[in-house]
Amino acid sequence: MEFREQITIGYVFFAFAYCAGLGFWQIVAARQGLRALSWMPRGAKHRWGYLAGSVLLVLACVWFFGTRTEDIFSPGPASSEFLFFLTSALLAALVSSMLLSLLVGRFVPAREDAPVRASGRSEDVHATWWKGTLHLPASEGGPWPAVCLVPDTGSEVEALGALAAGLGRKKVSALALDMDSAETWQYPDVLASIPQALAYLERNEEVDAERLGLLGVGLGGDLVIRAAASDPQIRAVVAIAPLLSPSSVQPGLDLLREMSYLEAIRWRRRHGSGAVVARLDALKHLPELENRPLLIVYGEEDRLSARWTATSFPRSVEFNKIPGLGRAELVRDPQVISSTVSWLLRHLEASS
Amino acid sequence: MTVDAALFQLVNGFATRIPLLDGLMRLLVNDYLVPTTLCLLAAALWFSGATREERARNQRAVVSMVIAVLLANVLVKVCNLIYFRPRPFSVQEVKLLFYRPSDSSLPSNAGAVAFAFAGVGWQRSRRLGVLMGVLGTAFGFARIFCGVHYPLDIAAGVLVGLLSACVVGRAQRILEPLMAAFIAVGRRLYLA
Repeated sequence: MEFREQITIGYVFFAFAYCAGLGFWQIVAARQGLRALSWMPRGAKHRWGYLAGSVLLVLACVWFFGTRTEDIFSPGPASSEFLFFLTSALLAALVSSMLLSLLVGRFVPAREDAPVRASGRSEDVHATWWKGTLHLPASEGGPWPAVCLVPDTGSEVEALGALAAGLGRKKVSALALDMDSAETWQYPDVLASIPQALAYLERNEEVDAERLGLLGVGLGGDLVIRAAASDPQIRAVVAIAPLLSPSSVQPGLDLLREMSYLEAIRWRRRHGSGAVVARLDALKHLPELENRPLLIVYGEEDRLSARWTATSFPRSVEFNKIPGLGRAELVRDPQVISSTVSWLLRHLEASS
Repeated sequence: MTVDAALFQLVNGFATRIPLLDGLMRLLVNDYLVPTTLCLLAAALWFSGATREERARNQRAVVSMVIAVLLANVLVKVCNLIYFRPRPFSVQEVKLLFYRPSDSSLPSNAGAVAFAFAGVGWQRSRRLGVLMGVLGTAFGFARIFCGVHYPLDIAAGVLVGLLSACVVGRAQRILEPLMAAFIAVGRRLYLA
């Protein structure tokens, strides 16, 4: 057989392996919970991923083995050429799956991404060294307790909208810090952001300065623990999926379970080798909270922080692992928001 | 007639009798279905594992599979340089359900590759080893059924594949830097 014909068969095989690869990666994404590969919108059941993958795989096999018998039963690519075509097709399918997943993530909203219903007033605050949004309850009758919300590095202030709305419904003010830019997370400058935000809250007449709490997400969780350790005025602290150790920011497949490939690259760039996590050293500062209440919340599916269990922390720390949720879903999940708000309210009220 | 030739005739004798069986064997015998399935199983193994440590063990197994398959291919080539055995259809009347390969019949490259996968798969997980072994056995049987190999060719191929897997299994310490490098590159690309 002519070399040219063999190459033609190689191309046909490449097309088959590419289509089969698309299906294969969907099955892998569903089985391993890899968000960066999955074409299903966030929150969709894994079985849809299995179904889409299996259908693609079967269709590819039916097309190739059912209709290309002449190609199949002719001498085709030999072992090394076979591996070349198969590997390149699988890599092409992998890249395509990632791109499609990125597009789905951007254009198809997840079920829990429903617009947050604001329950009060909100105003943007621009101070010299920090900025944020102050959410105040709708009703009269302040001053209200207040919670300073600190987002994860790289996540926008809007990500805390659901939490702020949840607090507002329970008549708790919330000051959501905008720490989107990488500069805001430079150590030791970052340590100044929370004291300055708290000073702003104290000056606000609608806020009860005796009932202040902190809530942080991701690296924001590490920061609130560190800030509360040095400020006895803080009555209650919530850390949602804090990193606590530089090993939590190691690159690897676990990042793709939580975010898209591009987000993983960005996340890794922002965290670097985990220098800020190491310097904040929230774990070391836990004892300085003494008996002030601290709630740490993780998602059971969060592979970046899988090693943390209740026994990793002092007994005084309340530890909550939420079944079925990953890192990204925690701040949007209505049950997590509801239980966190109730916990904060209970401890802020108790201390007054 | 040798036992090998008698066995070949017995198996190949069933060809063209039952169309459904012929169809199944033609599906299994081709150069694409079983090798692609084995490669996909290896790729799936790369991504599996509940913890980072377990995944690293699986990834080491996948790198071992690649090395074992390469080694099996080299061994088959060396055997072909030393000894050439003609294909069954070149020396006797057979019911041929496949094209006419021109390389040496012994040892079977298909058997060697499939059992190199299966051998390493078995070292990592008994279930995976059995699954790959069943695929390899079906592949080998189909090659005899369709008239492209004698049973001894397949047996020799299986031996070469298992020997490669065994050598790679024993050389883990020597291969460790290579495996670690593969996994490190995978991690930097967020794929390991």
